[in-house]
Amino acid sequence: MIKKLSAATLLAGLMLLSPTASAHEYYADGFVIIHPWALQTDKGATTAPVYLRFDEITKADRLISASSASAGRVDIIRESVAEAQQQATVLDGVALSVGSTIDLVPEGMHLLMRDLKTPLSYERSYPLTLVFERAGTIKTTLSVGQH
Amino acid sequence: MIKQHRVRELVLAVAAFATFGSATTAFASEGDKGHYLTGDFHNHTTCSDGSLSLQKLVDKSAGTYALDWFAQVGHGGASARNCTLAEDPFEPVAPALGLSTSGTGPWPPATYPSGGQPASSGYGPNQNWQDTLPHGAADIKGDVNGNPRRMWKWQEIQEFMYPVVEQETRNRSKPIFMGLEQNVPGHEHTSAAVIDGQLPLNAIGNADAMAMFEYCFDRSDTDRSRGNITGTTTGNNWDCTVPGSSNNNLLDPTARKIIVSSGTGSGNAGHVKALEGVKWMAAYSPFSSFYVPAHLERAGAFNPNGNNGFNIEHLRDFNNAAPNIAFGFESMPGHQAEGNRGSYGTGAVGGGTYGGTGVYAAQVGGVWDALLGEGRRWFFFASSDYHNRGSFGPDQRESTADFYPGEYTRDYVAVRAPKATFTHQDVVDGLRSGNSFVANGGLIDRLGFVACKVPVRGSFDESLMTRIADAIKNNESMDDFTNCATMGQELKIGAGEDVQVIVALRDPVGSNFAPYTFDNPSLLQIGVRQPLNAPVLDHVDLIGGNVTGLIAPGSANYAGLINTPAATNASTTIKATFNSRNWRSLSEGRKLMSYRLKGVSVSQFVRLRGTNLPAATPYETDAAGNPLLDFGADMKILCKDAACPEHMERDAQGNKTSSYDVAGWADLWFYSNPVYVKVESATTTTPTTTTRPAAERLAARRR
Repeated sequence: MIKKLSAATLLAGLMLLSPTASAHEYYADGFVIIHPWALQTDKGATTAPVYLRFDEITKADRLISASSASAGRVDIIRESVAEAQQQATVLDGVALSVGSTIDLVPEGMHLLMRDLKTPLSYERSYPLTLVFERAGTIKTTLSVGQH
Repeated sequence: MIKQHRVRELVLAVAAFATFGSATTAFASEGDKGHYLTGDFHNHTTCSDGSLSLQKLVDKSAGTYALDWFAQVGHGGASARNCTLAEDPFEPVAPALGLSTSGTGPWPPATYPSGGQPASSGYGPNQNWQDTLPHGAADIKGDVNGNPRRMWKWQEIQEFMYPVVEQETRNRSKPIFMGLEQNVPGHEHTSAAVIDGQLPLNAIGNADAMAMFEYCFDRSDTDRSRGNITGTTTGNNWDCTVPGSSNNNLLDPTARKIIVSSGTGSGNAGHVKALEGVKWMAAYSPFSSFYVPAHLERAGAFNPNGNNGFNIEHLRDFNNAAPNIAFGFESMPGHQAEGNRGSYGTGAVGGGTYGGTGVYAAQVGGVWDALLGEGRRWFFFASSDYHNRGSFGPDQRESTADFYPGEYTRDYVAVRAPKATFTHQDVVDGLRSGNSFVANGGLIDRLGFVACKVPVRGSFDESLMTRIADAIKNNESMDDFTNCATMGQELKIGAGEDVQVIVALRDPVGSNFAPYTFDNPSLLQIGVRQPLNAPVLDHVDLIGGNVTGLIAPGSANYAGLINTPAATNASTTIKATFNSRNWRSLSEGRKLMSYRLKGVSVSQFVRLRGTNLPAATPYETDAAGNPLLDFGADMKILCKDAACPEHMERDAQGNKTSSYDVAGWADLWFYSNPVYVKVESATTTTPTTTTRPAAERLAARRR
């Protein structure tokens, strides 16, 4: 089951997506990936949700898969409020349409690291590879905590 | 505070104007021998998106890695955490992947400094401002922002961070000062500093000017309070007017600064504001500030409707507006241990880094050479951009993200003052002089690079080579050799005269800071066995091109993307390559080499680069020795040694491949700044930076 996030921890992560905050960005051909992040995980945790934003989309594309050396696999999922208590829906991709801003957020579309190989520690960052139909493979890192 | 500086700065500006265009060399004769001192001016704490306290970052930089000077340069905008709280006592970490975490070795220097490490939220520098100030959120000034309430960078700098760096300066007897990684309106980022007020002799200093610059010109600072206590007119009451600017009518009447709306036209409007910032520095801090665009290829080309990269015309604009302040770039980014080296993605200009350097400087005849071809004093700098060590803890030796300041990239800057007493002002003067070079991974640690006039019908004084080789033993900065010019300087000759280029450098004996002793995987591809922590300089390229004069704004070749005429200097070539077959090896790892430019009839520049990798090393260098796109090496170079660490990326067959920090340590480069040769009869317009008057420099020795 996917752990529900407290309002405070969510706020801390989402704050980094606001205009006045510092966040790391990855510039791909046709869009920007803004601040992939996750919460630290407890010892023994096997899953970790990952959130990010796609912005400044000038060329249509589609996220088709994700992977990380820190996890057995990474799924693209949609999680509604109701589904948060149940199984989330696994998606086959995320469409990036020109002019839109796509947020991968809790209780919505986001990524889910499964079979974690190591706990995600506060103030560290971990590899996250995103594969797009048009832009190809983009390597990013996800941050844990407020950095 | 700015008003207090006006009279003095006006005097300076007049003095600068009087000497401008007189083709002064970088340093006026003053009596102090110059030396190269190492530092870093781009790095982060928890007061932006870093992971360490200010104290621990300084300790790592000026302590563990022994940098001689340090500027703390974090993002503008607002942040919630209090980076002035030191780490809580040391919390042991689990053994790193593949390496012991023993505090006693086997590697120098000491693995764990006294500062401990931040391991969790809610402790040390990860605590919020509002939870740690005497009156909580009420102590946070300006427009209310966030919950927990975030503090604007101007207040962090002015009231909390500056006192820490002043104390660190006094404790360590090293210049440590506050700067800013500006979120540039219309662009991405710039490393900047305004040092007025910082570190006065026998007095408490201030960073008011630095704080004001942040309020006035950082894109992410949307505060409209004028630097005041929330809801009052008590406080700084800053006004961001730029003396004499025709854009002062753009100032918001409440905030007294230009506010750029996002969306259509924001890039162009932002660039106007960015230029106002540079002009503000020139007006108030003409010799005590710098403005160096950082990782400037990363965000792609300039976007007139957003905040992306810098094209060559923007660099020209900055340099035109303030040649003594906007005098270079960080085309070599930090983040050298990231999977995307330099944190450059495929959307970067050039599609990524090349041997760890962006395309603007890595491409022979590209953007940098186009700027040098105008005779612009435009110099190459690099810093760590330290945030964290990726999946490793701050006291572990491995990294999947950043190297510490001084651990990998070292910027050697000529400082014309005794090492024991040099100041932050000497550092800024040294940066502006262009007499500096950058080396990664300890590839070299000494450089003497001069171009010398060969007398007509005379012979070249061969003893000069020996004297230069001797001078690098003492780390001297080559300012005082008669009839010679060094980096950042200009040698004047008559048409048709010869010029002797002399290079002396040191490939230091012993190991660098890499924790790996197995053979370099890149070199292993070509049968060369060389420990990763003991790199050997393979060769040095002497690169040169013609200087044909300034391009006027608005003219045909003023603006353009890479590989267009505007961003190309087609005359640039690799003029010579030096290696073990044609350099003279001296004691202590020193190498001596020279090259004669014969019958020089046009003004030109020469610069150096060098690497541990021979030409045609697969996935690393091409047949001419140019660095290849780093993404091209992804998953291609196997890391087969049993000691290759577990965090290496694996190919489809599950083999470890050279990646992250290993890839960084494997592929090392150094870059010098240029020496200019001006043919006196040539009619080209040659810009120059202006030397701060010697008397003023001496007065600035305030520590």
